[in-house]
Amino acid sequence: MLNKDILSGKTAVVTGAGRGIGRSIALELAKHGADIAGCSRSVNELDELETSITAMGRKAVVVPTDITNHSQVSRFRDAAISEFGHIDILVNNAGGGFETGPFCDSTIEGWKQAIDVNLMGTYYSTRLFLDNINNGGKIINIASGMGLQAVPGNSSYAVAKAGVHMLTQVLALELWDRGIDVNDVIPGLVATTNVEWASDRSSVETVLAEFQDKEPPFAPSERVKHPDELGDLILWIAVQEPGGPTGQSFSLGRRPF
Amino acid sequence: MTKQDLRDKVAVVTGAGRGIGRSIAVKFATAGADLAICSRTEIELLETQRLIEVEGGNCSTFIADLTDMNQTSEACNKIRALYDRIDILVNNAGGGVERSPLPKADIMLWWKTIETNLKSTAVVTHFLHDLLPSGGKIINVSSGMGMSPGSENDAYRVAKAGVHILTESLALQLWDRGIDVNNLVPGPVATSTFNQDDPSNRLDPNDIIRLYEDGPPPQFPAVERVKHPDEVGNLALYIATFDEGGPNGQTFSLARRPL
Repeated sequence: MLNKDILSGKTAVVTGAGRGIGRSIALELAKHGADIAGCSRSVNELDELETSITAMGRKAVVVPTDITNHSQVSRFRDAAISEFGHIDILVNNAGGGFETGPFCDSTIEGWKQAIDVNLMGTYYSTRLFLDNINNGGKIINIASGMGLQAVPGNSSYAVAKAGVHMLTQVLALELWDRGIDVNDVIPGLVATTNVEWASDRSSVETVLAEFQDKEPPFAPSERVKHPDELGDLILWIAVQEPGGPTGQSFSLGRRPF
Repeated sequence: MTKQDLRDKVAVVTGAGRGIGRSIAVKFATAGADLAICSRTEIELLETQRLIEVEGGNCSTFIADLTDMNQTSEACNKIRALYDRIDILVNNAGGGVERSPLPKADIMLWWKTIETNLKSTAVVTHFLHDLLPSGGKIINVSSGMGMSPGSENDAYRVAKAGVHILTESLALQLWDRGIDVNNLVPGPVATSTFNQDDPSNRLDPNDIIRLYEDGPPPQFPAVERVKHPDEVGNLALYIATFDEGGPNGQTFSLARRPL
């Protein structure tokens, strides 16, 4: 097991940290010593996150933020930097699907929303935090198998996540001389309140329960997992020494993409 | 977090006489696994065995040239006679043989490269897969060079591309037996194969790292770093210790360039 202080002295920014994968990531990094700056749209969820993190003896800065709004992300950045000065790890996790139907039924606003949340949100936070990421720091983007392999439907999400995947690789090539390694994560199927393939997505638990015995979507080899498994993977990436993998994808998927 | 614990597990590692294979085998032994190691060169294999036993591990050795069907079959039969279960199979045996581009290559050596890297992986997997239980893992050492074309080393690229797709296909074939199959891409590693050492004068990884401390050789972009094989051992351990239902058909990479 990893030393519980392995991230002591480090600061991690996690977007979309209020619930689901983002919350799991923030808590796992905090459990291993990191102070956390987290954002999401929900004040209540952020308050719960702050309570959990400070209970561990770590510092937390939480700011309600719409990741599609540049000036709100800027405000979040200012609050984080005012408290911590520099950051070591940036996890671009805020994301989700919106209009998940076929392209021919899409609306301009709905299609654009997935681009805004997943791709522009990642752009805004990275652009705003970049100057304050320590040399030797890490950027970890939450991508998706949907951005690697096409299936019918949900085109805006697929396109946005494909964009995140490519941005990861370009940033890796641009930032390596600052010692900043940039990788993405392919979660595979995760039980969150955002998934479009569950009949009851009111909570992580309802989604997990639904797929306890039911065949998962996309491929029978897949497994619907708890978001905490993503926390583990991001922790492993976060503790790699500088000069480790960069421009790579780390996946918990159970089907080739 | 994966427990990094392989106690009560049996691991087979091919090409374990030196380099990446040795590092993986020793790392697995440190984590508690029993090892069955295979390579062509007895003196190297016995040294890996010694390093494992120094860690308190159990290790059996099997000398075989895995490009030879008979030798491979015989080694696998001997493994089967000693172990009724294999939890982890690491197909690491491989390397560059003919680096010249196909039009100028020694065609026999070109094909030998395919056998060293792809045939070895396929044949060993074919002969041992049924010993893997539910929860078993296969890790195939592939390469970023199998994911892009180049002006030389095409035999190696073709072979590693084959390994890459074989891994993904096996993942689709074996998941319902609870066996997960993944690729491990090491990026450039300080091994004597990488450095093209004369067999009579193989350098230690640390010496090879020093040769490349100002940057990788010209066929790699400057962002790449020639790493110690123990770093690959660490990644192999991480993959090997996922619980059942973890990643399957995926590629885990230490490369420092988009592949």
